[in-house]
Amino acid sequence: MRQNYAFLDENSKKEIRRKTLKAIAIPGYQVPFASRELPIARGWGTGGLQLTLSLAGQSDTVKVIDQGSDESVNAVNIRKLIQDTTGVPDTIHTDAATLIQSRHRIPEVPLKPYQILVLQVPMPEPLRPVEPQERVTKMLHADKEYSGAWLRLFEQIMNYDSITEDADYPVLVEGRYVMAPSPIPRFDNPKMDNNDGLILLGAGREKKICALPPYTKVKSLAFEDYPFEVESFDDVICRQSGLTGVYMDELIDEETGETYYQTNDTSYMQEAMNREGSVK
Amino acid sequence: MQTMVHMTQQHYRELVDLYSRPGEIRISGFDTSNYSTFSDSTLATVLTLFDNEVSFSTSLKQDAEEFSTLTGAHCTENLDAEFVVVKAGELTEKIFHEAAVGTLGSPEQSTTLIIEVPSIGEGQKYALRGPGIKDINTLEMTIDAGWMALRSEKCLEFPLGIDLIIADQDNQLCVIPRTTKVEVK
Repeated sequence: MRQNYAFLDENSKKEIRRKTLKAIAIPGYQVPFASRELPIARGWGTGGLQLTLSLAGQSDTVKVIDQGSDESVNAVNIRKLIQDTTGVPDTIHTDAATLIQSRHRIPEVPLKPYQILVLQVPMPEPLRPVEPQERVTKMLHADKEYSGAWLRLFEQIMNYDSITEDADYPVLVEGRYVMAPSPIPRFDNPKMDNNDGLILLGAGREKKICALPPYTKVKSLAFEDYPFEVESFDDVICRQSGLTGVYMDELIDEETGETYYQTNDTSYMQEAMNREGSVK
Repeated sequence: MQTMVHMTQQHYRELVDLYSRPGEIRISGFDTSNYSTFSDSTLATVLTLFDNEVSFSTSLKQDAEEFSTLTGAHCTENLDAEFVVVKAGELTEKIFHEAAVGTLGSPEQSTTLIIEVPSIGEGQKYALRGPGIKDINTLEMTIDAGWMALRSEKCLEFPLGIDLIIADQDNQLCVIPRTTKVEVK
């Protein structure tokens, strides 16, 4: 069966495109959009997928990752859908891609100018844990009333003497909007600040589009006496590649029961291992 | 193969780059027959963004009919429509005063002005600062500083404001979103 180019019909794309442009004009603000039905279930990356399909064209090269991996089932299926309906080439190399769709990670290789990173967002509302009603959170954003977000971090400090939020750590965009950066690890938060590429965030189930244009101030929420800290991987070494200081997965060797670490961004690890002289 | 689907996609990508990098200039390669009084790049922007959910306002009946026929968009006389398509020579204070800036709860419900100027790349010099700009971008265009002052007034209370898509007669395009601080140089 022949599909429309990039699966979505043109009117759907136009609507998503108009909303995306508004999102870029208002960094950090969640623009509501009419999330379309797709052949994958809502909550499985449909927001990101709709953004990618509305953007993709003949001169693009796409990369799709899921938790840092190019080869997980989700990444493969989403990439296949994009390719089957657009015919664009794919790559695993971050710097060769024009469009990168990702779930839960920002790649280790920094974005280049004019590259677009699309993040899949399950819960775009940073105030949702403290306020269940959308009508109310919309008002709170309008009033720039973010006590709830701060209080949540404060309560964690009270209970555990540190901020325990390890993913989806809220950020303040251009001093105006508090935004949920999708469940990327804290480690990736600083990569959003003043970066060279465009970051688009799509939440299909929650029907929101959010954007971070390049060179935008993105600060993770923190207190003077409890500053923002990223996870440190300086003292662990990747068992496969010998890399250090990158985001690692902690795994257990089933035979020996021993804990070991492995680079989470698989394409970055592969590039490092393929580099000449990397084999000792 | 170049069809309308691919041309609007390419034009949209130009707009994405321009929105995220205010003050940069692109040349639109959109190739379609143009029976409006606007340039091809203005028409390309209309064809890319308009559909039957959109309301727009423009001064000439001929253009209004052309845009409506091509896209199904609804033409209105209200200047707080989603889009206002206008030539720089026909700008009025009323257009800026009546343009919608959105509400604090829904700042996206604002007007986007598509302004066609005689030339981008010459004329009045502007210095642009804000998100999407590393340090400072300079942009020259033949639009009176008075209009840009009215635009800046409209964008004082971020997130409220209007976004400008500026096209010229040589099919060049640039975008000044509401976040950009514009100074006359």
